[in-house]
Amino acid sequence: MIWNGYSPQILLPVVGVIALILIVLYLLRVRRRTVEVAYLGIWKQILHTAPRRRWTEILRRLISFLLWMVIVGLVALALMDPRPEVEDVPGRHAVILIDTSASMMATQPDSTCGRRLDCALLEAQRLMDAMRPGDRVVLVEAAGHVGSISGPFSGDREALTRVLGSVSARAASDDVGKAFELAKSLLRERDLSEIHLLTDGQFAPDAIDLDTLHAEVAFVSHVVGAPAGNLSVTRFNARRYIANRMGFEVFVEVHNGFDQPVTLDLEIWGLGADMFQLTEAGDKILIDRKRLTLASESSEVRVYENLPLSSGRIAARIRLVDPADLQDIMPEDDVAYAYIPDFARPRIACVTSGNLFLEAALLLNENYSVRFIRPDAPEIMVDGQVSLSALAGQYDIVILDNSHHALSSVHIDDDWAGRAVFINPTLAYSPFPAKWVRNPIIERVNARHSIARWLSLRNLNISQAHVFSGVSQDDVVLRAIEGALIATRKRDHQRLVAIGFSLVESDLIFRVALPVLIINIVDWLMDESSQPLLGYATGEAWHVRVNPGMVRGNLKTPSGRVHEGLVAYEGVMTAYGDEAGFYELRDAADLTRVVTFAANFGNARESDLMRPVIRLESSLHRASTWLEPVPEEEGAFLAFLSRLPRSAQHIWVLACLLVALALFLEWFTYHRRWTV
Amino acid sequence: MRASGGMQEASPQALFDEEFLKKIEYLYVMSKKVFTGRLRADRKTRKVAAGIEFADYRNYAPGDDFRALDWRVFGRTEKLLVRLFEEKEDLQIAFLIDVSASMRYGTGAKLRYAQRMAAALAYIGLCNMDRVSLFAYSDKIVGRLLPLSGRGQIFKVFHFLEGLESGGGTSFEEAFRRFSDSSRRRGLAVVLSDFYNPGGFENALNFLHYQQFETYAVHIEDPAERNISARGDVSLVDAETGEALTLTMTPGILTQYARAYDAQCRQIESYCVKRHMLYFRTPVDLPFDEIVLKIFRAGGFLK
Repeated sequence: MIWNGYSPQILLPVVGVIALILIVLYLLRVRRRTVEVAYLGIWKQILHTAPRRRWTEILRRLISFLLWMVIVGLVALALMDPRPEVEDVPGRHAVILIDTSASMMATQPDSTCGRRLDCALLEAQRLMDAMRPGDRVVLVEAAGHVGSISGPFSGDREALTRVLGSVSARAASDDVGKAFELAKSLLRERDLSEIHLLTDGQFAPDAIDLDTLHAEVAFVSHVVGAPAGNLSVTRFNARRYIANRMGFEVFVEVHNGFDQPVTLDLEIWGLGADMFQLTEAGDKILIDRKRLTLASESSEVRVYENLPLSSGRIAARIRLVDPADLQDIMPEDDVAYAYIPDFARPRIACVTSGNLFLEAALLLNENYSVRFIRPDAPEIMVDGQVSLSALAGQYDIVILDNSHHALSSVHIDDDWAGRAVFINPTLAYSPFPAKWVRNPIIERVNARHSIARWLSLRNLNISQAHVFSGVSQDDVVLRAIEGALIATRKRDHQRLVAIGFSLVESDLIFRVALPVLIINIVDWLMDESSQPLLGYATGEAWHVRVNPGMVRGNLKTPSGRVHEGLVAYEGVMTAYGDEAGFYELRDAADLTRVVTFAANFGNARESDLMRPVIRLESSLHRASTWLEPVPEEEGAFLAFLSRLPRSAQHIWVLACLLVALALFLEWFTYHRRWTV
Repeated sequence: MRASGGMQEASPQALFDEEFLKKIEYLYVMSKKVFTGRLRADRKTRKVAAGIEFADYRNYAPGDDFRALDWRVFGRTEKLLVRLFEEKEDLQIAFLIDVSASMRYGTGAKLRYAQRMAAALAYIGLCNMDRVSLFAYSDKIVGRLLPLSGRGQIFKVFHFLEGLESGGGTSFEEAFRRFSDSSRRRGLAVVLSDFYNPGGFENALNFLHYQQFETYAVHIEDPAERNISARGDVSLVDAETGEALTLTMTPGILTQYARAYDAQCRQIESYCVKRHMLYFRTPVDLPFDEIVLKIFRAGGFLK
């Protein structure tokens, strides 16, 4: 007999004290309580006829007391955890890292287990079948959010098997390096510890240093799958033209991972608003199909211009055509998605007394809907003053051009909501503190500001201007020695651009930079860009731009699951997904407000199944005792244990629970005076 | 306080508060309605050479007052007859209040109840011009209030009752003997008690009866005495003597106790009825004004 828990030397004095306390409590409990009565005569009368207390009642109390003592003994015994000596096998600890990255979705043609992940799970089950009493295991997912999926170390084989049943592959990159760090942390200061990696070997070559790892901890790799070729769509996105925002172009890159040339069909599909993934069923239309021939292990880029779509969901899919005997073992990366949001022409109100250069720059751009309003027009006057709020309610952008006297009453405070451009504002209505200067000298152009893109403003000549102060460096587009000449301000509901000089008092009107500057300003105000439209990589945290008014949102994934309670901060909501397809982010306060975006396989390495870091033939099984056969004398006992029903292995827990229940009943009935 | 007996300005003591005074005032008014023309202060007695209203004749006996002889009758019949006149006499009412330790059992409700009931009855008696005296006793007389008459004396009664403190054992015989010795006139003796007496109550009540006191037994009981909630191993301690008795309280024992308690009450009642004493069993949770008006009236206490 061995004591597997607390040592008797430590526990027995404690149990002795507890038993003593129980004895005192018992004596206190059976102590007669004093009850005052008005007249004892009546009690004396009945005492002559009352039956004597039976010996069974005395015995019952004694049994109650003995039960308490037995419980203390049982609990002490449970804490000491006595075991037969045959069971005195030192417990081993193992961390099983399961690679659930996208490459584990690939099927193995020559395998009976199907997908690579299924093979890995079978291997994991084999490891758990080799568990002996005292062994403890943690299952760790080595992709996406790396972490334990089975909780702390556990010796419950059935519970671990249940966890294995819920493991699935994700459209995410592996993170073997981080998983190993976690495993090493879990095994710190534990004897007989091992790390088992179940993978197809498709991870970054620099993720782990195997030699160093072997020196630190016993490491065993279980490689499933063999190198294989694979076709994949490695890039797919769309962007609008800068000159024609109504149109867009689509960019596709396909990769041939086979070691021989292949012929494939590249299809572009337009999907209905209710489709989250390209499936055989559903509302979809084939927009384009091209047959491509790719050399071995090469990529090809295709750009589609002027597709017959204005907005919506599109998908690119490739199909292997030739050679017919090749098999694409990972169809999940053969499809990619892109979302093109609706484009609405910005409505611009230009309040000006007349400026041909500005009018031309605005009118010649077909992407804008422009209206010119004189400063004294009755429709913008409220109580004899120009109402910027009235204009902001009707137009997306308000441009106030050089109309000093009429606009002198305009006031912009922090709470004003809208987008506005101030051209040569006077001190009275400037959004920034300003001062008048003559012949300002350009000092710096903020090339990082999107308003300054494609422009060269350093040699701009200006006869006189107002320069702004109190503007942060990031918000200054053009700075003179005296102060900012072009400045911006961005708040939750407010976007302002201030140009400190009159256009006609500079040589900007003679440059092509003027219409480009106008485009940049409008794009910045409308938060438009010529960058590729919203598209995210699976397995990463996404920062999705949402309506500034949105505080909480619900994310609907391509498989239809809804994640609630996402929080937005300054118009950006952080989300995560590991499925390729379309996602919908709905405003929790107004479910009609939706932001749709697409997410695709984010790591081309996951699609490259030809060059694993660890190959099957080089699987490492050195220094592992896990799969060693059980010694014969232990085998009989382990066989006996395995035949026991599950509950019998937790006999102490059940015994304690049972006794606690009995105690509770005894206590309850005594205090209710049912048993006295 | 007005002479008319308006009680709204009365003493602020907790025992006899404003509410209590209103109640006994109400009881007095009710008693006037119920017993109009039958007040005991108008009790008629026949005494020689007293009173105004002629009642009867009787033969002269040596020692009679010569002034009471009816000389006219002597002239006609040559017999010496003495004229008798009716005399109105007030009633002597004594309240014997048990203040033994058993009366403060539990929350002391029994003693408070006895005090209030004595005060209410005393007030009604004072208003009817009866002579009211109070005696507090345990195993002896521990306090007495000499006979009073008139409504204005009620505050002396209150003061006396307020000053009562419970304690000591119970000895009816000794206490009643002292009471009888100190009372020259006979009348009503109202015994307010829980009738817990180690020596029994029979002899004591008999003594009052034979001393020509018209005895009223008011048995004050606390329902908590009958419905004991204690269970298990207990040590019962007598509130008066301190004597202890160990017992295991079981539902069976409690049932037996309740039966014995009821039998004791029935025994007291039966004894009183047999000797033409009026007996009233008054649980303390019953409003005392209800007792006074309904039970007492039904039993003929106020006649």
